[in-house]
Amino acid sequence: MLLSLRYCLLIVALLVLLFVAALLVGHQTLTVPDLWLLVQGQATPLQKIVVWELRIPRNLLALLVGAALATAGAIMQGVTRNPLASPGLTGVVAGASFVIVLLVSVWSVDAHWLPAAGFVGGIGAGCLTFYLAWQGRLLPLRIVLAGVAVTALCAAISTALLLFSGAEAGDLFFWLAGGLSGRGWLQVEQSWYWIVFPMLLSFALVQRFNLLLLDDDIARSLGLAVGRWRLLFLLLAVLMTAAVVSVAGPVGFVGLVIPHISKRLLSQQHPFWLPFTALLGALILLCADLLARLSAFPQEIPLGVITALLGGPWLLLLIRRGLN
Amino acid sequence: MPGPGIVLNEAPWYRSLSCLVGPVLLFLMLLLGCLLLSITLGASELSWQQIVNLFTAQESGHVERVVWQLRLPRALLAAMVGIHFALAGFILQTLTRNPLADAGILGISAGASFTAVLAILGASLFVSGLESHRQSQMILGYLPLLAMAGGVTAAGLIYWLSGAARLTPLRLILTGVVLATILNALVTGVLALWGHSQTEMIVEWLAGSLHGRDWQHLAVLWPWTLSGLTACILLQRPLNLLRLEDDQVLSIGLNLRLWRLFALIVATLLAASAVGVVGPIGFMGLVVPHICRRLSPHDVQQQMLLCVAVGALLMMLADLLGRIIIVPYELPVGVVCAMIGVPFFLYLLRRQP
Amino acid sequence: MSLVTQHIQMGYADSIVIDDLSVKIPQQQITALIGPNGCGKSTLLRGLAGLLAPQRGQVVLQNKALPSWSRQALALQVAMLPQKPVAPDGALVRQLVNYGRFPYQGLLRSASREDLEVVEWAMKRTGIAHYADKPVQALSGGEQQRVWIAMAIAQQAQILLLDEPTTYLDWGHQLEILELLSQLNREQGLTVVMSLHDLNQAAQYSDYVIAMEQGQLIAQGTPVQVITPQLLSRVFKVRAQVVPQDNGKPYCIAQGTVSAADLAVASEKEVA
Repeated sequence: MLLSLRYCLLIVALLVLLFVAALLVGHQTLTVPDLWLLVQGQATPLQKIVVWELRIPRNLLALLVGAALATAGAIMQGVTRNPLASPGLTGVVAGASFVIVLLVSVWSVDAHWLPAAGFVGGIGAGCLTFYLAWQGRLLPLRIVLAGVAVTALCAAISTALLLFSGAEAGDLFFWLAGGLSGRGWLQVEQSWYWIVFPMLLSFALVQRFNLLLLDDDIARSLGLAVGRWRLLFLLLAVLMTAAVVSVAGPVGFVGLVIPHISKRLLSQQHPFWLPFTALLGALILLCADLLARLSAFPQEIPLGVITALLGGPWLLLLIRRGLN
Repeated sequence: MPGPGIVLNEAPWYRSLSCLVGPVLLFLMLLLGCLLLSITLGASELSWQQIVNLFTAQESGHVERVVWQLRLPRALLAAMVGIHFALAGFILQTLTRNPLADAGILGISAGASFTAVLAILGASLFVSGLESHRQSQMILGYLPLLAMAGGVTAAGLIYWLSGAARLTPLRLILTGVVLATILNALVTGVLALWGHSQTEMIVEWLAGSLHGRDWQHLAVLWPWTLSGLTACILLQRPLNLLRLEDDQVLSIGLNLRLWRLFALIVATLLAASAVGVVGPIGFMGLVVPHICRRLSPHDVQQQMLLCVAVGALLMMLADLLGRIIIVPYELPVGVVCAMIGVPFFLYLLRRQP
Repeated sequence: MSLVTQHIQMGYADSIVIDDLSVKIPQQQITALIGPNGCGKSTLLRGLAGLLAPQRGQVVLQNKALPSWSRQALALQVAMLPQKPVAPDGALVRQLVNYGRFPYQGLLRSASREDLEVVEWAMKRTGIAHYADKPVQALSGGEQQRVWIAMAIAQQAQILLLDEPTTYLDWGHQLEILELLSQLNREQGLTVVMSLHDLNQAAQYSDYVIAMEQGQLIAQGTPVQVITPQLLSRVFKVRAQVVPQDNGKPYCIAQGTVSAADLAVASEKEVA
């Protein structure tokens, strides 16, 4: 308990520090005194716009995206008791982005509905993956391979749509690379409730989550309707993922890697494990977004590239060492 | 002792091929038919009469241009590329004893794409002032070679990552998938940073497309096809043995490491050179070897020969399908292959123990 | 709390494991299920716990068929411990035992004072109180088994089903578990149903024995009635001597396996 409190404090401190740092750096570099002036309302209009309209909403989005993906990954890995089940590898992300690409390029649907549409696509793809991987029981690797196939199919159709959509192709391509560049208050408004409410609900249901980590027979004989609750948790995870995809595009590896790290730091059975994982995800995504903004300054690298470069080698190592 | 379903074929090669004369003729006819279809069908429909007239040299310039400059080279290139991917897939599947292996899935294509994209963008950076199509012509000749460098690196990484601990087939595939994801992310990153003027062209290339390919692409690829086929002839006998367990192979007296490395390099050469010219086309290397094994369950020589025929045929058909399915638009052949290949992959996955 | 199966047929996908089995579990007694591997003991236990629905027939708890009980209401009456459960990563002993109180807790309500007391009692009862804050996976097999039993008794159900609770334990730990169960049975009036491989333990610690073979009920009754040389040779294909002990319970001494020829002779004798 004490240990986790210390971790939490450390993470929150880092979070605040990074948040402030991310407010300062960029094309318009600010200093801490500038920020102080801004808080007092004495900054130049340009600085005001840069901070209030560009950097704060973007940072908030990074926090939301990181927390949502980490929680979604933690839930999926937990309730399926499968170390490789994550929104990315199960095809949920690809399904959501496929439907979103479809709606944007063919019908130009109102952005408010994109999370809901992505939800439908994500659920469709997720169900397909689990159905295809099912063989009396679910083996981790089989899920991933079925997910690869579903992802490949979604990606192929998305590519075709991309090529036909002509003028928007470049934009959509970079949206498919995943990133927060140019996102603002509008995207925060569109997506925050799709992310925050499912997340809070999953935190509140922690007891059931913990039981789902047990053997099915035990959970059932303790009076838990296992199938129903597992489904609910998976739906929550898919909803959060779809919301993320609708604002930031497919950002890979976060949902897979963060839960593994947070499992090392804190027992999965701890009542605050899910919130802790969310916090960790928020921190790491903020960090990644900062890297995306700065590492090729003055240009920007898509966020999905950064997360793939950070998370991919780590996953390779995990596979090489053997998944337990 | 050979495992179930494995026959060590030590008969002279011509004997196992002699019974193939009938099928080979059949496939040649199919190929010819397919070629004719490819020439006739498309955005501007040609009649059979016009084709016949073409050979008797009575046809107008338009038809001549469409056939000789666009459709014929494209169909031939499709056939060559099909052979490349099919043989690469066949070698990889035999080598890893894994029915799910394929240049695309193992990340070799992604490695090849990465260096190819780097080369294309690099050319546009350093040789500015020329028109973009002149640039791409300049670099075209080097693309297979450069793509191969990337492909070999990716293959080496896979080999290294899977070498230490003996990986199960599924785990090997997972390693490849993750590697491919990382490399694709790198491609995206490179495009985002330096790709501005050419994003659209490269996106189309990344989808795996035969659009706008002509004789010069064919001229670039054929030496690689030839050397790949030659290498495959050398590989026939060792490949037959590589299907066995390691210890058995060693006890037979084959230099396991050497041949395995050679086979891997040949597969990479075939896949990467094709990627350099037409972009990463996935799943063809997965599907074709299975069809060939179905047609000839025991004999590696026959299977390889069948791979050449079926690969060429299928790729030509896939490209034709992509061209005529939503006229006047064109579906990249890579997308068509994925749509055919993914259900097949899933079917294979379900049969994996 | 009566627990009865009526002509149940159970199985998985395409194989039938139990066929037309009717049995009444005696209340407030310890019942041992015996039989060779694969005879359907585990399947029967899962059926009794409502974890696997019968394909035909029904399991009835207190005159109400199991499907009409809600999961939670059922958990208040019947606790089940599967064979060799795996503790999740990092779970502490106290946490795991506390899960036994899950059916008493509402959607958002966490542990009450009473829950905490029951958890303490269960840990004390099973002798694991001093490990309370250790991770379960750090304990030995016998200790882990006691943690699971603590969880099951913290559930305070009147019927406790255990699938081979002594497997993988050393001799001393096996007896410890069995003695614990028989104490709980005496003091709390707990109904215990468990599958056991060791016939002498079954005879020693149970009041009632159910013998199964190939999904069928072969014999049921007190240990003396059921555990006989004839049954042993028929069910286990073992030639054995059964001697009564001082406390009246039978004790088996194996002498060898029964060959097919012996079986034929035995059945001829029975006919005669």
